Amino acid sequence: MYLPYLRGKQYELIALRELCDTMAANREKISPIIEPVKDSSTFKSCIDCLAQQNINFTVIINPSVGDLKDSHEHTKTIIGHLSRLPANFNNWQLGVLIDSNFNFLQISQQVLDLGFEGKKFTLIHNVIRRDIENILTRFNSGDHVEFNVINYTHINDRRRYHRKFARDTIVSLDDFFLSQPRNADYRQVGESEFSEEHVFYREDGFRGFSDFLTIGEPYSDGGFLPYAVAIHITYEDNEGVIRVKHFTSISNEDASDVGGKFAEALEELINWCDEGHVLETKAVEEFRSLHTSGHFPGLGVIKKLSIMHHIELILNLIET
Amino acid sequence: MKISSNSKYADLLENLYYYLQRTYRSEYFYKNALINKLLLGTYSLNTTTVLNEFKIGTSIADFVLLNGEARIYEIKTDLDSLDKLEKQILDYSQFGNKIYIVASHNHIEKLSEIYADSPVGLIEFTQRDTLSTVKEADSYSGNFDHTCIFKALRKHEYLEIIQECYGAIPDVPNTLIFRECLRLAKQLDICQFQKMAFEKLKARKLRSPQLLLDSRTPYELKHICYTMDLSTDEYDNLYKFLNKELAHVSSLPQR
Repeated sequence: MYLPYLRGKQYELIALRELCDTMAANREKISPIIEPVKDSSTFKSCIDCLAQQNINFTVIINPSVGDLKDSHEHTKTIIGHLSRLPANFNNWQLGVLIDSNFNFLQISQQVLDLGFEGKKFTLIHNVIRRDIENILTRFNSGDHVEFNVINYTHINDRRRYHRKFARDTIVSLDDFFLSQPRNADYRQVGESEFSEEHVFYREDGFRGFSDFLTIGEPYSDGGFLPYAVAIHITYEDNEGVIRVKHFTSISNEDASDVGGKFAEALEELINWCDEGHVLETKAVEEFRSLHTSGHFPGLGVIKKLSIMHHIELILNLIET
Repeated sequence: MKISSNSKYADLLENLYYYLQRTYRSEYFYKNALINKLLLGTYSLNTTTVLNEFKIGTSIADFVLLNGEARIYEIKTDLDSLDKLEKQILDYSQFGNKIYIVASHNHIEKLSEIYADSPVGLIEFTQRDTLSTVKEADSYSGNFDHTCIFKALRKHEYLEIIQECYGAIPDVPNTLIFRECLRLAKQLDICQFQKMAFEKLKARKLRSPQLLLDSRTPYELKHICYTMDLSTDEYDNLYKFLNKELAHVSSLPQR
């Protein structure tokens, strides 16, 4: 099972919405984790869409980044949206980030206050907690925790910590995306290794695996116009390893002509796709049509397509 | 002036400004002097536009003043080194008619030597907070560059120029529009193109110019108000704040 970890920014959410049909056809294989970062209508429409198609998902109620972090008011807001999901749809989890300043008494009380007693949880473990048994008991242990997602970027102890959790709940989370300080740097990098979790996760004793897609874990609100445009596309190489190709614009001396730079990067992407290395996903189809029309859809759409492509690739590579 | 509990925020701000000006003469004091003395003093807001932190080539000009000519001001405070200056001047000369270096007394002597035979002008920002012209700039167009000027424009600005010169905008997809318009712009006479670009930039107007000039907007804040391009409402809020007595400090919500 694949649990893509997405920050709920506009284009991440649109990516999920547009992939709803694809995910619905692979229901047993997918369960997105959404960390909301803005109280937006796109967030509401996204979870509505997932609910309509009966796709399992997790929404984190105590985000660590963005506009909704660090406040019980925000937790209330998020829970408010979740409580408006159709009453007969229960195929989702409340996500809780467990980090060093985590206060489980407060969180569990809030959840109870809002009438989610008996609800299932996804716990995302960002730190090793000495009081973990206590926390698990609070969340009603085994029964009510659907997924224990262990963030191995922060928890180095790959051997021991996961013994604390019921075997059929454990999910590995890693940031496989090697981000570069500047977009222009991807031109030198060319391509990098991504992961082989899809091959080994079961053998390693995990129920599923999670990653930060082609975005990476560090969060930014986005801002300045980049000097370079980069399109990140994942593919499976001959050894069954997922790698990521970085198609990057060439004329990167200033911030002008983003559209023209997109065309440069897209040209290389399409040439490479024509050589048959890539899974022809919905996103690749859309890149092809942008190539034909010469249209620049904006930087957000490029990110959206990169995410959509990655999710569809993984769905294609795993059994369940 | 002493600050007491019935002083206003405006008084506190004024005090802080003059304290900092004596002890830490950062770029802001230079820019604020330029705005007050040039835009609000010598020239008129109706015929003049100022661009702040304006990108020209790979440099960012501190202060650009557009009226009959494009004057570009580069500020060198005592806190700045002169390392990048040569490159900056070269970049600015691709677009501006007149280039001035505004510097403290400490830099002036050295700069006078370096730029003695060049069209670059020199202005000293004195200890008494005045701008004294050491050397007038000469108008120079020998370095004007199509690409540099074109890249300084916003999309709607270059589209208007192309429309005016060619009667139509190229019918190409949006990944090609920039390059196609740049190609067409390069065929225009460079001085004509600089003049047209200059007029487009001049048309960038403030939201509430009369309030920037208003005496309720204090001298110390003119530059920041200009840069932030405050709306009428925002000016109102600012005036209310400045008029508040400091005694209210203790009743402000605690963070």
